[in-house]
Amino acid sequence: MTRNIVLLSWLAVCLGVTGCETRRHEPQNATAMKLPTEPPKRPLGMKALEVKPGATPFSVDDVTQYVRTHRLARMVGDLAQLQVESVEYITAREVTSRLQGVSTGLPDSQRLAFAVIRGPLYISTPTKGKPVAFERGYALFDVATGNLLMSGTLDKAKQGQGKQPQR
Amino acid sequence: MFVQRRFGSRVMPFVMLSFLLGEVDRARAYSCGDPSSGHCYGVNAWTQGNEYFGAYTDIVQVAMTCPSGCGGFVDNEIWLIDDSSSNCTSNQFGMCWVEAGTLVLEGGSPTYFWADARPGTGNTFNSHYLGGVDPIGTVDHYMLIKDGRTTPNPYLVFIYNDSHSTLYNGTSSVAGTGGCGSPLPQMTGKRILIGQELAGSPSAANNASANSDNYTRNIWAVQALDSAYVFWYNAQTAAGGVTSANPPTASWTQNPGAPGAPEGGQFTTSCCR
Repeated sequence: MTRNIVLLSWLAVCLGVTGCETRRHEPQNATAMKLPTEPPKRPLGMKALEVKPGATPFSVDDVTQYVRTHRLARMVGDLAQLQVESVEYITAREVTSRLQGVSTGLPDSQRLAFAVIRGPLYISTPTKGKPVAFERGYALFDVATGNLLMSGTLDKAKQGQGKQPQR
Repeated sequence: MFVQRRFGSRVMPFVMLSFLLGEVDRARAYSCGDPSSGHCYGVNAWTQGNEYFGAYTDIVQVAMTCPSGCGGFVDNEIWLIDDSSSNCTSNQFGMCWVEAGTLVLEGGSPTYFWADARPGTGNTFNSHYLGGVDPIGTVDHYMLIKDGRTTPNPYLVFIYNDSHSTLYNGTSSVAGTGGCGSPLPQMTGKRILIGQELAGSPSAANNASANSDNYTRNIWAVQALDSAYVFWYNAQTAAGGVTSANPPTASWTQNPGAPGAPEGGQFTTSCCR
């Protein structure tokens, strides 16, 4: 009888005061650190292209010149062989769709320049090892500022392609 | 002039030559851009625990340059890596990862960035360039955390300073379907790296550089993020494996768990002058 009273009392305290639901999320032997809750800043990118007045602020040549002189993140290999296939002006929402769900961190309606780069592009991994060759990659620019916002890979090179080990 | 007076003018060419050789030695050429071998690293690897649900480090902003002709970049950052789950070993890289840090590309200025390589075989690797960094000396916080509130679990990335005047965040890509089919399970963090990555093979005069930088509060999440929105963590307590390609130069300057050391120890990197 006494044991039941103790058990019921414990249950009441647990559910009513301390909240078992909350306690379930608190691991033992760990320290808590709160995450930032303020709205984040909008990604600004890094300085890249000069914006020209008119409907097409950058040409294919402008982007080609940029990617041949600036090594994008994780890229190795000869930049001179890179070619820009296309530069399209699309919204952030369309970019997310083309990149299979990737979030740009920008408003859906934001106008961006999506450049498709033909390689091979050699991309390194976070550890020492042979980089992987991709047939195509992309670079994403802010139409208003010319800043580079994102870069990445599209299609992996087929076997036999991308065997030009120059620096 | 003192040397010239004391030893005569015939000694001067030798003195100048030895001075120049000293300068060349201090700013050694490096080769970190070969597609057959990849970049160079000065990093520490954490491998304790079964799954790392997240990773965090404090990195001080220091002077970083990659002048025109450096042919690559230098960055200070943190990585969370999965190179054992089948969905990751079968992607184009043979591994998945999420990374965040400060990067300087050729001819550019230091920029916050984050990137990820997800499971699957479609669009796999995406790098996000966020904006210019805080003044030199500022301690910035870099956090990667698995979000347990949605399925499949993405990873959230936070880069911020104490006042939150800098606060960027991002959400890793999870789908990884290769363009069709159901979303694949997200990566499982098995390894954490902190440190510096160096790319390029310039002449010594065009070397990238990064002043000596400290990584402190090296901690890892023990569970995924839930509705409490708290990063539950343990501190790194073991030194783990250090890679120092010289450059980048890297070492523990205060071992994790040592008396008086900062939480998670103090790891230090530098490059290349």
